[in-house]
Amino acid sequence: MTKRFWRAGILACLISCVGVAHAQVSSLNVTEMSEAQIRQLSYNDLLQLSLEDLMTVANRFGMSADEILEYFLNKDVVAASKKAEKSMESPLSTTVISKEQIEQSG
Amino acid sequence: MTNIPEALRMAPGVIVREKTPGNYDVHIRGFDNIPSNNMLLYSENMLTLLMIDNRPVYNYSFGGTLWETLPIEVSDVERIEIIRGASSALYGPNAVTGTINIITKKSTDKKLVVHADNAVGNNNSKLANVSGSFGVGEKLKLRLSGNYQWNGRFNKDHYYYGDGQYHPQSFFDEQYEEMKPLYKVKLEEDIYEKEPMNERAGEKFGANISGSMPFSEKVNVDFALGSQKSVVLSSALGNQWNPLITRDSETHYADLRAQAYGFQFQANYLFGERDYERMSKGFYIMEDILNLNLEYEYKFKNLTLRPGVSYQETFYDDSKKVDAAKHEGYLNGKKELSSLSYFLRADYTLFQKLRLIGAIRGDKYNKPDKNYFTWQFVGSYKINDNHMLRAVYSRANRGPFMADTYSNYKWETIPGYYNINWNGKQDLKLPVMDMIEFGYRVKPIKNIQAEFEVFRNTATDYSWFIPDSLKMYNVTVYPTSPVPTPVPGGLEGWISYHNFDLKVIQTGVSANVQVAMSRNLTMNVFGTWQKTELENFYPKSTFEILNALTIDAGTKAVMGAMIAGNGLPVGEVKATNEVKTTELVSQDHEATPSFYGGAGVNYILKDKWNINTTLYYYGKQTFVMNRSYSAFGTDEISAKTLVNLKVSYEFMKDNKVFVNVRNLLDDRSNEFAFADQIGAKFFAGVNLTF
Repeated sequence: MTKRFWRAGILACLISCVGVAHAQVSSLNVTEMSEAQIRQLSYNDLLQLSLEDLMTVANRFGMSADEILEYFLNKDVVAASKKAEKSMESPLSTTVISKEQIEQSG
Repeated sequence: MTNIPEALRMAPGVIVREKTPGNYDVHIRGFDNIPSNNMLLYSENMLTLLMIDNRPVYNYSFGGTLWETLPIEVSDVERIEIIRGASSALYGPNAVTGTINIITKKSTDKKLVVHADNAVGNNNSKLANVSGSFGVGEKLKLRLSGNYQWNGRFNKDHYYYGDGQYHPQSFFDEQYEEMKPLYKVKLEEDIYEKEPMNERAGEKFGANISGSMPFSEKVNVDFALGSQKSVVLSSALGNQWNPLITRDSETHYADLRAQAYGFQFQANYLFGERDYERMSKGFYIMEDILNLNLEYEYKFKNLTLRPGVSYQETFYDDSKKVDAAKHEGYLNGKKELSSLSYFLRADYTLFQKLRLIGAIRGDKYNKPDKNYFTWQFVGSYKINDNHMLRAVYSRANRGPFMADTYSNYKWETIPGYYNINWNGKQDLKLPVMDMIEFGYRVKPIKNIQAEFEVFRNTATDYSWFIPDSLKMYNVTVYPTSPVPTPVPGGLEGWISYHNFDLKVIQTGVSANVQVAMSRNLTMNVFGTWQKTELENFYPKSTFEILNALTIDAGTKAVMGAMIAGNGLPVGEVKATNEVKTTELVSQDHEATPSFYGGAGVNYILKDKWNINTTLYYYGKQTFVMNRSYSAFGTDEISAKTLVNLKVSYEFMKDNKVFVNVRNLLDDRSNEFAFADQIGAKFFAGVNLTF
């Protein structure tokens, strides 16, 4: 269970990392990136990764490709509990609209 | 999405109507147009709290959200969190039907990164967003952003209450000329210059600086400063002739958030000026709003306690542009609304499955001089990682408004002859809502997440204005046939705010299903079905009551004349309106569509192309307001399906070109009562990163 929480923490960190390290990702080379740099990657950056690179990221954080799907569905929400938690676990009726959704849709 | 309210069309439980291009009405789960049969103002959403990074952004004049006055734009948004349901125990007053919290982007990198999103569209519309983020020294990270929009109209004419038709500007110019000597309507001197450009639905500009400074692992400070300036053609007040008026706003804000050793402190201040109705005198205000909030998080094993205190102070002042002695404004001076609040939230988890949350909050207002208690009790049970059940019972209340509390406006309908005194009331009870909600979340398979919620809301203690009484002075009764005619030498009316026994009951269900087929193909579909009923509704319109009072007073004058002798002046007579319980009705409320929802599909092709289509639908609605010309006070809004398509191509890392079509089917129907046609919008643009 602790491991799950740890993973969830990493996921949360990956998703919630903001302000995109655009400059440094001009050519993403995840195999050479430090853990800290990977954590700086935004959701958008992750979308840009090839499946191979995505697996590299996933492996380095001990996640499966399935867990990566979580990014798309189970977003972080803070407002409902005044702390970050997964939307699947939010105690209130909550919806999160992400910057990616806004950008992609218009 | 070209702006923030439009983005809310991607969430279940949110009704979004475009009034004029780029200007929106947003309601969570409805409760719109209550009371109906009154002014257009009551179509505004007065029951939802909007926040930017937890800073309340609210219109304290008479409620509602002035979306164009947000200093930020979509390009500043990290994410938007929408909480449906009564939640003022968590966020404070006005979080009655729900809360929308916009979280802004923060700079996380030391290197300079510049973003530019620009688009041009039909009707001469332009959108421009620019931002730059960079680091200063070792720790401080800053983000600067600016946004500009110019939205063009589809129709260039305006709805006229007089005949229920749309007319060109020249028609209104003639009307004003005719009306001016007759009613001496208080128009600004340079009205023609100040009238809205017929082509323009709105123009706005915003600029922000935000920063983040971590002092140590346990101490962090975030701040934001910004300004906005806007002018829109939209509705809220309307005037005697048009539902759409020009609203100006220029505001500045500063927000500070500090976290240290479990404490969270937030302070923000906003000041500026607004003119809610540029054309008529009396709706200009200067505002000062201060919010202070301190919370502490205490953890003990599975229990988290979060006590806090909060203080809010709002000053509105209209004395700069009105003669207060003549009661030309609705406030006629500087007025204050403040509240001191204290709250506690307890969150307890048992066996990592059962979670119990209780939140209580007390708000002590200066007006009404009372304590209001709100609460929220939540129980959630995690059956396993893929199933979650939850139940919520909560109470929330709305805060007081300036106009309702302090109005002392003298409406010189016919100066020197007919005055109406418009008075607020300082001890109005605040609207309260109770909610019971059950929810279920499920992940049937790894790439689907679905949620369902059933809710029942009951709202009471509504207040609105109605005419109280009418006085006729120096009445002369002429012996005309078949009935004598009373002719008053002067008239005075009184209109004031009252609480009503109205009970609004709403039941509904929402569903939201998200599917991630792969990282390249994601989709979602959602919808809300609901029914709203009114009990003990007092349906009489202002004009109906005024007419009845006129007849009543006239009859009294004739009776008086008969007693005093023919043709003699009667002196003064007064008629008073009483709300009789026999006049209260129960009815279905049809201003909220019984179904609304949407869907979206996003497809990434060869890592370069992004194809996105979204759909938004709302069912038929009937909007009822009251005018002296009552025949034109109802607007049937037909069902509308909005289909949007955006295709973007990434020609270089983080650099894209795109085309964006909103309302692809070009359904030109108006989405809001008496407002503009909203047709297809086409945009072409670029997203650049340097």
